[in-house]
Amino acid sequence: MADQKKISRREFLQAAGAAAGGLALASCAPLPATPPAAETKATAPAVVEKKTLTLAIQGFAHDAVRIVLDEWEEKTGHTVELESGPTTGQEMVTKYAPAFQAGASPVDVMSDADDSGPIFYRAGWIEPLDGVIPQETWDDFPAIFDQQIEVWHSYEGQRYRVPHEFAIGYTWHRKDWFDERGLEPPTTWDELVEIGKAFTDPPVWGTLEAIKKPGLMYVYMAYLTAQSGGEIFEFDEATATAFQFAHDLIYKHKIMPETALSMDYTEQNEEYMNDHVAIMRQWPFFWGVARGNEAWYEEGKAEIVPPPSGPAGPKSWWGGWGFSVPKFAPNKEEALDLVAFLTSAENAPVLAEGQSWFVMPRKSIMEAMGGEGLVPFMKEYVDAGVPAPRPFHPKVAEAQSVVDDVASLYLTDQISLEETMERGKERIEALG
Amino acid sequence: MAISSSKRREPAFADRRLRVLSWLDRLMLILSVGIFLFAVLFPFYWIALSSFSPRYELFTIPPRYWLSTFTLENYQVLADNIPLLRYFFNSLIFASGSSVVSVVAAFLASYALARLRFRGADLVFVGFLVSIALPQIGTLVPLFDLYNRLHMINTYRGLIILMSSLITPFTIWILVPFIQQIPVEIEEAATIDGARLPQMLWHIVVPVMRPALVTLLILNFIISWNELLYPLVFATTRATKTLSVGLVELAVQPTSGGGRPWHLLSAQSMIMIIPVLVLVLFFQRLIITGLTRGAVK
Amino acid sequence: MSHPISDEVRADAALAREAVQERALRRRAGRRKVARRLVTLFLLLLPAVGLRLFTAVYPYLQTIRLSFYEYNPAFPPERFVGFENFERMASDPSVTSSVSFTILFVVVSTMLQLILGLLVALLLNRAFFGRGLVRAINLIPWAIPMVVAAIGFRWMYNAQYGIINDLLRRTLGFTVAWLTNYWSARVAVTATNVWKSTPFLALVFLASLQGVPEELYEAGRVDGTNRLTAFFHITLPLILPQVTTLGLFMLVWQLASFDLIFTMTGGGPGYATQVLAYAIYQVAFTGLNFGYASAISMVLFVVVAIFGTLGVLLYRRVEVIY
Repeated sequence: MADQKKISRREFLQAAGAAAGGLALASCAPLPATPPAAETKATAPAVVEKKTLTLAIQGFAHDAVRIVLDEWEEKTGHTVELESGPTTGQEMVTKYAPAFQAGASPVDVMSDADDSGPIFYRAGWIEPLDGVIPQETWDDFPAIFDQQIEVWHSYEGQRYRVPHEFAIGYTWHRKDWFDERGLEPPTTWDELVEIGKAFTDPPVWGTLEAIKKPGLMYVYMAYLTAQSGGEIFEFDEATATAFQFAHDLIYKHKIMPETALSMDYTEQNEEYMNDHVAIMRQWPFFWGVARGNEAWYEEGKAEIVPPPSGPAGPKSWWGGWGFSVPKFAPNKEEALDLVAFLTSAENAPVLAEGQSWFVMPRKSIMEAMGGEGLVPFMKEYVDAGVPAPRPFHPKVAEAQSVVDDVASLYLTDQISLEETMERGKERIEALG
Repeated sequence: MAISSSKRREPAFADRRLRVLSWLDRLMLILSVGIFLFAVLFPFYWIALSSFSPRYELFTIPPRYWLSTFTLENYQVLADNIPLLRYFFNSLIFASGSSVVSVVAAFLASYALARLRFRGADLVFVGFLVSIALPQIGTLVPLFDLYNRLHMINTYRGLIILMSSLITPFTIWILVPFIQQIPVEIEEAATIDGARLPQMLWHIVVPVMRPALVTLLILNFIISWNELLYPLVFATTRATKTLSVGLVELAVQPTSGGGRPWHLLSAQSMIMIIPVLVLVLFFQRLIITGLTRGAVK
Repeated sequence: MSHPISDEVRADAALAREAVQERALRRRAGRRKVARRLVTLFLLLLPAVGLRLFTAVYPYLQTIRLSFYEYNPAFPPERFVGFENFERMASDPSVTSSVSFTILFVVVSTMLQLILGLLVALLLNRAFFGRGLVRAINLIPWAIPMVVAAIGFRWMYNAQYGIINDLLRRTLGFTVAWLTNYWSARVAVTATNVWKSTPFLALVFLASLQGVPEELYEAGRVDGTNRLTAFFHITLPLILPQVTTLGLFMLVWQLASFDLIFTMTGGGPGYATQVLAYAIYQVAFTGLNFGYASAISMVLFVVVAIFGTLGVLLYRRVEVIY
């Protein structure tokens, strides 16, 4: 301890000295004189040099990734350090955009979100993956991925990201309660309302969705709009129907609490696990959350059923994170090889076995995992055609926040439905 | 507040009234301290409680006011997920460096602003304030560009310069009135004795200003200790990341971006608060010593 | 009525006169003295000014330039648009809707922080058992990281599980859906902000109270002034400079901060708790609209510059009065 103190003090003094030195420098050095770091690094000779790569991905996935990384390290002789990546698209942008904009990248490989990826590729900050990822890997993805990969993982015909997650909103219900009352899960919006009313007896609610701004409001509105058959960013008739339905759930049918407007997913899940909700939509991670709550969980308390169908059928939109290599990655060649390795048909199942976040309807994974965990439900959803493509807009993050804003105003009764649609349209148009 | 009013018109009763008053006064004081402690400590108590509670027992109806099960599990998970010691060490260098650099720089500048009356002093004074008016987030992109060119990303000195630069203006704003409060005669006497400016500052002004300087060292240390945005963007390696960055790295399960793990957040905030409290308790003696020794006359 | 202060005022006036005379003397003195004075001034200001210039010049120039451009790295090319960005702001609801709450939030927070901070400082300046510990405890809210405070208070305000509603239910028999309703959400974020930052002001005020010579109070006591009068006639005038500068500073500081609101409400419900700095964050870091974000930053900057100048004028007045 004493030793450590000494060091810290010395280092601290050094740092302070350096700070003073930096100041003196700064006052006389013309700023743009030094060349960008990226250029100088690129010219370094790479023969059989052993490199240390950095891979950024959310902390909970580290253990699962490590297994595959060990293998790659053995194969190539390089080392990979895992770094905890941001948990939202917006944090991705905040953390990495300044670096990319300056022509630098703190990471070699990163797991990237839907709402940050597309603007990163557009800005030219991501390395294209065509010619790097073998065709077998792409062939391993089922047909429903085709459109998603084309829209969300590519730009101008080039692919920039390989999906490693299949996030779809599942419908979870209290099978135990339904059985007790001899009820079947709702298959339509009307049935949802009817059954919801039967269960609602505050603090118990028919249904619940956390719709706090920012982001979560959009998720739910897009979900309902997928069911009503609308194009959410066009604020068309069907979008209005979906918005109206959400409003009715809260104010007319009163089967969803008003407090949902300020809840986040943790609060929503707590409500469900405190026996206050009969049926709800939630992302796949709730599987682990519910089953991990050993004191509460019993079979039948959180069973997945197909979503209730609106005018356009039982739909639920999906998306997910994927692997990318930044253009300015310090060890780009090795990074590209690593992404190809991580996403191969051999290794995808290893990741999926290690962490449910990596479970996707990829053929290799379905084969390896068969009836485990969420896999059968995922298969059921895919077979029933539930997955709806994630609504796309070139300025996706901004378009989503337009929906967030107007829906939040509408659902707190600050503007009427007509105004909501008008304002939404105007603001989407203003995005260009 | 513990302020009681009194009117002493009848000297005959003065003694008894005074006794009653001083008794009332003590009662008010105790009451005020009680209310104050409740307001400050209650939310903190709740955070501490959360950090020692099992994850699935955090939220109940009605809420718990006492631990049902004591567990260190959250701390364990935290230690497994984050290199706590390394981050702690980085935070310590970052925060103490920024605090010292900013207070020293601000002290010198404040002295110039308060004592050497020069044309444009007001302008400089306002300039400091206005110079931080651009929101920090608005400056990230150009700053990164600059730092990248100067190879100052992921360096302690780079981070300390950024942070101390951010907090220097406010430190100046607080220090100037403090210096103006000191009667100028003390310094004049010293100057007449032939003391040069550096000696005079060190031997005369610093001791008198000790309460203010120590207070600002503490405040600036805490501000830097908790700073998130700069370390998040400019410290991307294990060797420079701070505890505050660890806070947003805590992800034990996917949450689709909606909700952070409160059981771990509360535990980590405890880890972040305790060193600060120890520091404050320790430095408080310095403030008090400064008071008794340098009492202004 | 005779105040001990008046002596000080007289002394100050004398000092000022001396300063004037000194200046006159100096004018007559040789240039060497002036040069040395300038060097001293330069050396004293160098570290602070150097720090600021180093980290501010480039960002400022960039921001000013970009505010006249349409610039989004994801949507090239960069294009000069004159004042278009500023015009766009006038019809952008995420900006216009945030103005009123930004002002309300910043002004109300600062007022409450000043008043409570002063009260707490007075309290902590009194002698009582365990004062050192209580002073340390005072800093707890300030020492809690913002993210943690924001999420912690989200849970405390929770309508079902929240400890605040539970206390209300037990004592007053009603509850509030804090973060869901328009006004209660505004109250909730402001209260959290005040809770978080008041200790900081209290500590600064405490330090300045310690600079108030005890003799002044003793003199006051002999005169028979009570504590309230003593506060308004002795304490307040002496620490008023700090109160003004700190108040001004809090205004500016809080105008530019958004992290509490970002985590607690995301600006909702609707635009109820939207602030300008958060709008800038969204524009810059959800859509990479650096041009437009720079323009909004410039507006914020101008507002702050006005506040700052007015504030210094006020500060000078304060100095003159006392």
